[in-house]
Amino acid sequence: MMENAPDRFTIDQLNQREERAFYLMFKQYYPSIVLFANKLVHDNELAQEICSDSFIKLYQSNEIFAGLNNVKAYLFTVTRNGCKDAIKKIKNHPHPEALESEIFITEQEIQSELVELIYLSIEKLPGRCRRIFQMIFSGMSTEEIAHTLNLSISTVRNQKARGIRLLKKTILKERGFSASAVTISTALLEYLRSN
Amino acid sequence: MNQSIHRLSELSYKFLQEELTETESLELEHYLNQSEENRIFFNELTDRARINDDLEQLHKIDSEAIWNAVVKANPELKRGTVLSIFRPTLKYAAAVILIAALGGYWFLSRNKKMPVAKTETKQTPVNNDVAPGQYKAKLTLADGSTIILDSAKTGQLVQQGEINVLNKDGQLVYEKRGETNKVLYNTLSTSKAETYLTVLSDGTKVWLNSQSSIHYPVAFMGDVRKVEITGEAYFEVAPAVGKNGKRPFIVGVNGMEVEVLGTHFNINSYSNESAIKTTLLEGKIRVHSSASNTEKILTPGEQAVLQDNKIVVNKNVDVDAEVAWRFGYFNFNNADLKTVMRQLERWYDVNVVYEGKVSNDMELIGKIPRSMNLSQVLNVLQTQQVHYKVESHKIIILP
Repeated sequence: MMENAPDRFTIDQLNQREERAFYLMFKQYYPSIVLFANKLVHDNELAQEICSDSFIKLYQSNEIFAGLNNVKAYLFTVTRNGCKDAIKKIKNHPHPEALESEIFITEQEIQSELVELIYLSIEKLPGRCRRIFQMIFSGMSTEEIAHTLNLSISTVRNQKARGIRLLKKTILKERGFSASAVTISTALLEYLRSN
Repeated sequence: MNQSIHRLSELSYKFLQEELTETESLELEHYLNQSEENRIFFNELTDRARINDDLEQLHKIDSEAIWNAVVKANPELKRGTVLSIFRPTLKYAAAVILIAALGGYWFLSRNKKMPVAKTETKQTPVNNDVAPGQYKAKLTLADGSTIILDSAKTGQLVQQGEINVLNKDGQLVYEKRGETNKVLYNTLSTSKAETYLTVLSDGTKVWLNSQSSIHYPVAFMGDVRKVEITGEAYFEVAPAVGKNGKRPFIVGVNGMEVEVLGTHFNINSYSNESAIKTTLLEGKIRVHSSASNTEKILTPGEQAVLQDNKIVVNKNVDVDAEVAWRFGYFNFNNADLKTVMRQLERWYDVNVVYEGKVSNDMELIGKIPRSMNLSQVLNVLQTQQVHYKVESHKIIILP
């Protein structure tokens, strides 16, 4: 079902290296990959470079993947190797643990995936709705938001209600599999209701 | 220790990738309850300060620069970008911190007594939380004796004629040793809060939901393979060839028969549900009602609904939601309250009572792992305006 949505990509499309599918996949997966790289190399710019390289390697490889999870696993593997190579080139890198511990690496992978989940859920809200949510989270009251955006208070309230509905849908339904998403959404909705 | 941490990581990872099997979610639960070290690992992983840092980090990242470098190496990729542009990223650090603070509970909400949301308002406290159902069942042998099965017991249980009956990895498996002419029947049954998987002698796999049973010969004889079920079961029927061509597989269920040749489908025939629903995922099946002597042929994605001896074929069915239980989830897709509650009654072995005038018009949604405790499932429903209180093994629904 989810595969039919317009912003989804299928494994077949990726295996054929379809440009559109590849781009959509990039948008979905880059947060965890770049975060993961940064956790190993502790350098934003370097992490970005390594991240680009990983997606380039994926695009240029002849690898055929059985499922989307294999694509992600491939990205993590090439990123890890990229980080190792980069660290070796740096004299006295303060964090050489990336070369040592499998557990450490796995932990960073998991951590990156979790953050990606939170990040993408909020990102999915449509323009004005997301803007209002950002303001709510920065501590602004409904009145302040209305004033800042030059909107009526009822418009802000409507957008808020709409955002809650959408968050419910995207988090509970599409991403609803994981306990983390369920928990985040529960807490989020409770918070908004009391606000 | 290292070994188990690694397994734990793997399970956590799969959990995030949304591909934990039911056995694996139980395993994950087990790990978390097993040792302090595992919990520490988990706590570290989900530490709020770390998540805050990560989210802030992510906002410093220039995703366009990353993508542009990819396009520079492969110019044809530019075409993929045409249809949309990058959305501006969240700029408010405060927002990030708050989200992280709210989200900080996540995994740990799998713990036994973890309240999910942090705001004190309107949270219903759950004193005696109810653990989810387990891999457990009762096997009744041909001579009437019974064996209690669970995932811990492994190895050969008994021999029935020329068939070895084994219990391995939480599955009941029938293995043929030789030919026989004797027909022996076994029955596998689950109570509330139990589920089990069996592999019949022909290789057909049957998942049994809670409060269900399947009655079958230990070895299939003749040209037809026939079993009887009650409650809910998911079938992956193995194709088989007999002397006279293909050997059909027939499932008898309360006055209805489902005939198949090799396919995946689910039958829900609980007596407290309004109809018998047969949902086809793969292959082809024929649904026959003996009372009205009518039949319908289903193609994948269709559901036969037997109600008052009439079979109606429903073509717009959410197949994922119908069979979610077999993959370890509740999947409510605009379900009404009472339907949801009947599922909770069966899986948590609780009673649901309705106090006052409770509206059944709600359309509830949510995909929730069946390995969660009852309170966590109820919390998800609470965000959708379901009001309740819990008293030991009783859920009281309030208006």
